Amino acid sequence: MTDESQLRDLLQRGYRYALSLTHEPDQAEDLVQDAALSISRRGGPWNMPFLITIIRNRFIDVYRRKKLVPFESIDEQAYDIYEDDSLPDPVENDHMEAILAGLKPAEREILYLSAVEEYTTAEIAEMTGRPRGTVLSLLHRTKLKLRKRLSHEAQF
Amino acid sequence: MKLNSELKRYYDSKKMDPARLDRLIRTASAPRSSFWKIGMRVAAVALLLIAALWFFRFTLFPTPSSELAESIATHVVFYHEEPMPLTVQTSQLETLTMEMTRLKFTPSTSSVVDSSLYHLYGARYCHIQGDLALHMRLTRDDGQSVTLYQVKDDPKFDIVDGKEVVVNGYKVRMWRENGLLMCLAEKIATDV
Repeated sequence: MTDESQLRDLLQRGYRYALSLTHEPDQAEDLVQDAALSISRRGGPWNMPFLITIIRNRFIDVYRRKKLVPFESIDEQAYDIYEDDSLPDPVENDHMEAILAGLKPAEREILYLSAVEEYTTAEIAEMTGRPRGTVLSLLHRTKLKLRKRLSHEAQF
Repeated sequence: MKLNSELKRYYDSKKMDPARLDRLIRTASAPRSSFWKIGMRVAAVALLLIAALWFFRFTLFPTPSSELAESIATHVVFYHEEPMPLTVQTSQLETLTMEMTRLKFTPSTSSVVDSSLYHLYGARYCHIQGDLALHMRLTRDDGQSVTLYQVKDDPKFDIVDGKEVVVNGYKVRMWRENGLLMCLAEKIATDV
């Protein structure tokens, strides 16, 4: 694999992560571009955890400037250890997009980092600066919410 | 079906536009690729020079505004060079105001951009530092394509007001006018 193809894969992953935060393609591309140029100016490092950190910080900056709260405080709640990950049917992309649009940035972010990037809860806790218990709780509740909405929509 | 695999499939289907990604890769990796071409010895000297330049720039002559100005200028030039489709094709500013209803400001003429020398031919939505902005495309009398960005003014732009930055052979001027931050990107003439 060449350096360029590695960089291409990394930036595509960064774009998908940014999309999980914004759910808006133009803003996601802006975030990735700003982050990539920032890393380039620093001379690296070109890796996913660092790219996530830069994109996340930029996203928080933008939201704060707009006087919005990017990541609401999350109540720690009890969660079940057992988690049913099954869905009755495949989900169309348009359907998934509409359901994800109804989630908060923090919820989409944690789903992306866990399900797509396959980071452990300990790694996600470190990246997002949240206690591991909070990450587990948020992930559990978000999956529950997503599954409920997907199955509710599927009934119509 | 598993929820995780459905999420993975959904996000895997999302891709950054290939042309924009190519340009970003070229821009982001340009300094690194030049290092690959030179020998280790020369690289070491270059690194020392860079370190010295950074030392002088940030330690002896700190310029907090330069990074934001450079970031905005790079963004403006990036999208100036990108053949993005226009939301509205028109030579009339009034038409932009009427058609581009998502904007939270009214597009404006500028004293810097002389309307007898610069001719509007269209515009599209864009963002600057996360704020919805207007990317106007104009032509000069000499046929040169020019980009004019406008975005609602904000205190965060205090430090870029009046800045000029050169990026990839373009001069990008930034100034405040009529409640807007404006950025004009023009190719620097080479036939001097």
